[in-house]
Amino acid sequence: MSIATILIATIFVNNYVFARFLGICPFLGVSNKMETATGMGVAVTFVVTLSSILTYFIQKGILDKLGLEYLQTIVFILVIAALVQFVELVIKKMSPTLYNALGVYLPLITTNCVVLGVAILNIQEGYNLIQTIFNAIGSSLGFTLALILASGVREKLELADVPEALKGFPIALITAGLMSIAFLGFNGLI
Amino acid sequence: MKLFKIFKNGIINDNPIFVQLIGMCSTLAVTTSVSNGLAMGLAVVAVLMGSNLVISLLRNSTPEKIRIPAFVIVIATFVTIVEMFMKAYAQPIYQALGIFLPLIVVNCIIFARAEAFAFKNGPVASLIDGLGMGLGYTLALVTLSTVREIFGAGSFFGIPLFGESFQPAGILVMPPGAFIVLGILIGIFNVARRKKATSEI
Amino acid sequence: MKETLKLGIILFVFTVVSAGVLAVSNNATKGKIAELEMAGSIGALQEIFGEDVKFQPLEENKQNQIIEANPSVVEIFEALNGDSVVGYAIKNISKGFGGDLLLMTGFNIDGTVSGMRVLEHSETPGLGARSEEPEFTNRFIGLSTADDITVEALSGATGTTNGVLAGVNSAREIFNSELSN
Repeated sequence: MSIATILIATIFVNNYVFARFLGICPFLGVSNKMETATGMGVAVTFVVTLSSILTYFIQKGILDKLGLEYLQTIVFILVIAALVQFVELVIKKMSPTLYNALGVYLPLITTNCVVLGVAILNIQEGYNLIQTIFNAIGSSLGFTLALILASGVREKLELADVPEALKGFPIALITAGLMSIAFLGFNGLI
Repeated sequence: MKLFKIFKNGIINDNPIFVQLIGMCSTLAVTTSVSNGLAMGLAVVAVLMGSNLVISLLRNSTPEKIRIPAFVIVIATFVTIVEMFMKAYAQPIYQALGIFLPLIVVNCIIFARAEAFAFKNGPVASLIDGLGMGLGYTLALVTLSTVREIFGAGSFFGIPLFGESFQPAGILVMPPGAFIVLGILIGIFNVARRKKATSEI
Repeated sequence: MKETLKLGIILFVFTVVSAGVLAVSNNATKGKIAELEMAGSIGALQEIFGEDVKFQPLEENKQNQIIEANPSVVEIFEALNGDSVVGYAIKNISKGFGGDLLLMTGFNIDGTVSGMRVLEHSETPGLGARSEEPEFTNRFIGLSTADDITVEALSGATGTTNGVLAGVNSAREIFNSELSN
């Protein structure tokens, strides 16, 4: 698959939130304010890209060579957990303001399905290193796009007259559903 | 805490999907049919009970500082075991669940129960908590997938319900349908909870 | 320093125990998994060619050569009636709507398609998943390999249909260029 196809596919056609259902928990948790949405998106992009590269090398260099494919799940998640800890430390040192802004969401990136999901999908789709990197970038950009779009709508929804039972998560989900319909329109693109 | 109360907690009062609102990713993805939803639910029950039990048994030998990586190792081990056995003995379901089987590792529910319950309580209580939460999760999945399958594909558990001329609302078995039906179901659950709260006053 | 070492050792023990448990699990299940894959292939082959036909994998060198030139191919079988080859079956992977499709396409030596089976898929139940059903797979029987193969699409599942067609045509091209002499 060409790079352009991968990017268009991951950002629009197979958007990781609206089509693949990955990253829903942070999507619902963080998308109510545009600032946190953008910050989260950037952090996730960084973690996903780095972890995709790391896990790619570990899979090809260690797991495949030693016939230990069944250890994929556990090795990948440990790598991701370690990476997130590392990123946390780096951000804390380099930009305390950003660190405070992201707060508890930073460690939560470990349990963000997008990170593990992309790492596993890179291997399943049989991508080479370059394709892996662009798949990682594309998926996280798609995730960020979903977050930013949703936060725009949700900020407006705060001021609207939503029925009591639907306030909060239910209306956020319905909003996501409507956006998902819009993204379905990209289906014929590639 | 009485065991039955713990069990009931997971299914109703603290239902992971409808009340705690965690573990969403797989909920939306695998509920295209009742058999898939049920399969995923039972897989999560297996992992939850196993990880809760082991983490509870090891809670005194695990230093707090490294409890997170320890949880990850235990949970990932159980998920991998479930994966392997499903691939060997339940191939069609293994394929239908696809990538969401390994993703059980990052299902917030399992982590949350390990941290909030298993690490602080005895093995029997943790086992029951795992069972209750897992069944609550399964209940939510089955409810969601029943709606989606009946109205989106005109069948239940693969058995066609309506005649040839029934035109199902295909959108329900596609991504948007998942979001919208779940949103509405949570809304309904909220109304039911509110009614129960006011009637108890 | 001492405490970090102690923590590290505890984690290491956890990891080793878990790796051990997983290795045991793996051994317990991998036999069954390999069995299932073989049975899936043979079952599909019998359905496509009929009960009286025997199968064997294509000669190793030739098969490896084809697989190297066409990475989407998984396995190639020869179908034999007695001692003479009556057809070939190609197992390959194609892109479906919800994930990869594992297909088995059978070709008679007279240049027609003997049948097609979808062995593995992650398509939507009720839509793309219906590509497993005879109503869809029967559409392939008897088609000529001389031209591009097309069939009526599964209603509501053009993505899955296109994925199947891509796989079948890729197999058809390999049959024409490598096997039909």
